[in-house]
Amino acid sequence: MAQAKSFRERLSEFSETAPGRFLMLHGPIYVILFLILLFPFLLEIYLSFSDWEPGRGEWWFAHFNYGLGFSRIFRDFRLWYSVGITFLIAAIAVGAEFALGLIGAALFSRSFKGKRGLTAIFLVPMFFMPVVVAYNFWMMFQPTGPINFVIGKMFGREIVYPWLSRAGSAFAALIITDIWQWTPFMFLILNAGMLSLPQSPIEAAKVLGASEWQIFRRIKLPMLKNIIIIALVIRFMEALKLFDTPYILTGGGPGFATETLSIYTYIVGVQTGRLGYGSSIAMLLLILILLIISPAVRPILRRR
Amino acid sequence: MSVEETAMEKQTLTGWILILLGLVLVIFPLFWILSTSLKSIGEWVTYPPIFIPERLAVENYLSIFTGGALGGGFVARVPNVTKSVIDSAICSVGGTAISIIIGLLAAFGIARHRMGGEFFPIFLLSARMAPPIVAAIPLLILYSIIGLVDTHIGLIIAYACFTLPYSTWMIASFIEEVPRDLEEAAQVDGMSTLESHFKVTLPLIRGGIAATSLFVFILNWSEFLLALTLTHEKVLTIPVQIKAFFTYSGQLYGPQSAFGVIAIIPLIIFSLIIQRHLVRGLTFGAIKG
Repeated sequence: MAQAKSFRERLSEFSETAPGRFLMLHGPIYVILFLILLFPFLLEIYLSFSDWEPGRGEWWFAHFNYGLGFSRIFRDFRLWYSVGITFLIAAIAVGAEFALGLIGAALFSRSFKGKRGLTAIFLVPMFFMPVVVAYNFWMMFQPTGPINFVIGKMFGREIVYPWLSRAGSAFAALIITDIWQWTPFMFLILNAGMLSLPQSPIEAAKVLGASEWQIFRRIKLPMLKNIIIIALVIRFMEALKLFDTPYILTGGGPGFATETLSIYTYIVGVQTGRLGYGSSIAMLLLILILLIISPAVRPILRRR
Repeated sequence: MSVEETAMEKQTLTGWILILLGLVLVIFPLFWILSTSLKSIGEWVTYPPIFIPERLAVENYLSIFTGGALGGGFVARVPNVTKSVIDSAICSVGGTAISIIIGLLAAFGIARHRMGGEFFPIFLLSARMAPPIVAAIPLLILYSIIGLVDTHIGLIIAYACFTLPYSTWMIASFIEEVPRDLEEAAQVDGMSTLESHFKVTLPLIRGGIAATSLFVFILNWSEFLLALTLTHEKVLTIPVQIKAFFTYSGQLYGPQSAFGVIAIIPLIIFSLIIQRHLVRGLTFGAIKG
């Protein structure tokens, strides 16, 4: 009993020292992050210099190719094509989502009946499982699906266009799906930003006779700048990871028309089992993303 | 809030038209999956498409849980999804629990002691923003070495790890809202620092922790890539099972839609509960909302 107590005392004394506190509060997160992220990461560096495949024996016998994987990367047309596709999708989709979200937030900064309920409805797409969203749009984009039907009705003739089997329209379908799901994200954040703006400059401008558009353009938008940057950064980074939706909706096809970086890496590394080369690509991807991330996360950290 | 409301402009007619247009665009896909989930087998692929089923085909919902056969003329075998619902629940809840516990400890370190300095926040955010496939490939190798491929525990650890940035930041932002003075007063009364964290601040942020848990659960429940990479057959989560529907003979529009509807019900309910905290969660606590 006495010993147990002294142990508890010692423990609480230890927790009062800086290293003790660090160990107790941050110990677990470091263990899990280093075990699950850092160790695999080192393994990945190791394997990215090899041409290891599970069929070729144990991983520690991996045959070194002295960067052949990396030299192969530069000749891999399909890889660079998917880099282009990924950035193009992210740029178009996030741009459209931002524009639509901003319009929505501006409309919801006025007062009207049923605002709370409508806000909740407008947020629903964001919480659909991406896989379910993709499946749903896959159904709707079928040649005999409702989208062709509605467009046909508008133009007064029958349309049975195979959206998902032509490169251009499959690309468009993927972007439309992404916009449907993620515009609510922009709307939610910009709407919250609008509601939290200080009212006095807006009131002052109103007294001076500024129009609603002038107030929006000259006062609200500049005050929202930081929030806008954060929303764009987060959404853009998420869009670069795009995997679920194209995987279900188009499977990366037709051809490589909608093959994003994540899908290509998955096909190489997991589906066809070329883990060595898959690791090389993953490393490249990580370096590419880190180059973008380090300046990008600054606005988020500064706000905290 | 009410003061702001009175200061606001009234909605214009153009505004209403735009809102209604947006409403149609948001609701139509929701309506479509719900309606398809209630269509009988003959109504799945027709032209012109059927918008409102003639009779509510509840058998779509029943068949995915009994794994039976569907239909009159031709028989479609429907896969049983009960296992995937259970597996998804186990992995999501397990992953959420670990993520919240470790995230809570780390959040106290960040919010109260500035542990990790400049490096840690950037490290944590980068871990979240890198594409999961970058970590999934080495994780698959690691798991195949230590035998965690296709196990619940393997997926739970992966989920916990991938949601740690969210849980840590979100809880930290709740802790920061509790004044330090409360803890300091308790310390003057003889509590140790850690005791003051857990006995004074923790009870005050219970609501925030609940919101964070639901938020992390939503992320885990929808996760696809990690489950697809790290499991094959013994563990089967809902998104992977939905994908597997594609490979069965014939397109099972009705049952698959029914499964989709069931899969998103918890997501919709939970997101409505935590609506107030969504902005905070989605922006890592950078915007309080």
